[in-house]
Amino acid sequence: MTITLKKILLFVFFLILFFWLFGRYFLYIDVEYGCFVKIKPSILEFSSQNIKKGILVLKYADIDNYKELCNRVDTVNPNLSCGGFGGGCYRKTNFGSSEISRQIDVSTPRNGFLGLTAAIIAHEVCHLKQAQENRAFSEKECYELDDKVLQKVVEY
Amino acid sequence: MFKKIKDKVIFYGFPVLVIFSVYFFINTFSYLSIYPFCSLKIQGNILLKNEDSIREAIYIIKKDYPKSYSDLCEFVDAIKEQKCTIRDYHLFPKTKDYLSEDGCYVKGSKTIYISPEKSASKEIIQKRAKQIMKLTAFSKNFWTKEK
Repeated sequence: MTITLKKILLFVFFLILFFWLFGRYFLYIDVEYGCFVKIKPSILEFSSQNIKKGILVLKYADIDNYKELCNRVDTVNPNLSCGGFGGGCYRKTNFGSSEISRQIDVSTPRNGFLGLTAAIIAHEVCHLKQAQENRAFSEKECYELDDKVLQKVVEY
Repeated sequence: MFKKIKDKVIFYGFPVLVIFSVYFFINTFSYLSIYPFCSLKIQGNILLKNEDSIREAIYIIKKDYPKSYSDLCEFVDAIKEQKCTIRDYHLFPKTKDYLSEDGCYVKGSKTIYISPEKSASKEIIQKRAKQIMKLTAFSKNFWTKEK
């Protein structure tokens, strides 16, 4: 069996295409801030781009919450979760594990309002922070935080 | 002779037809202008189906406010017809104070949101043109001064 140059080029092309698509839809990487976040595939809505844009809103308009995200979160789950459609959710532990989860659930729609996506991300990071710092779960603290995010990022 | 002409028409006509079809298809879902080049994604309200009034507003800006039009093409990549959430609704129970009716710009993006409208009257189109120009200025201000 001979491997022709054409076959090698075709293989390299599809390999590059695969990594490009994987990086575009399932990863958020920012070398400057050492930020590496996985985005799970979404079944109901292909909303990874909305989440990535929401993260970028935090990067450019609310750097403190962006750094919190980069330091604490390793995975964003865009599938429907306990926050319902358009909401967010954080579970302290994953099923079958005692470790504190570093995954946040952000179930925003593909064409959702970017300000709200950024606010929901910051809200769930706030709950993750409460869990990591061994503090009581408080919605009030996180509502106030996402309210501040909205006031900061939305101009009208 | 006739066959030659027919072949030439097919040879040159088909690509032209494809290009025009693509152009009109893109303009159904967005705004595309070749010269000066401008590409904007337009996403209207699904129920109101009033995207044409957004396009009309862009044509007014292009014709009457060339500077704003060039800013629009540079600092905005999407115009969405959607109400803006400006505060967390949990903190405003029983009121609608968490929503803005005047449209908004989300910093760190190139997306502007304009308020949904049922009508496509001249007044509404003028109002939309002014709203788009105001929000474009916010985006320009963010990407040029705050960086």
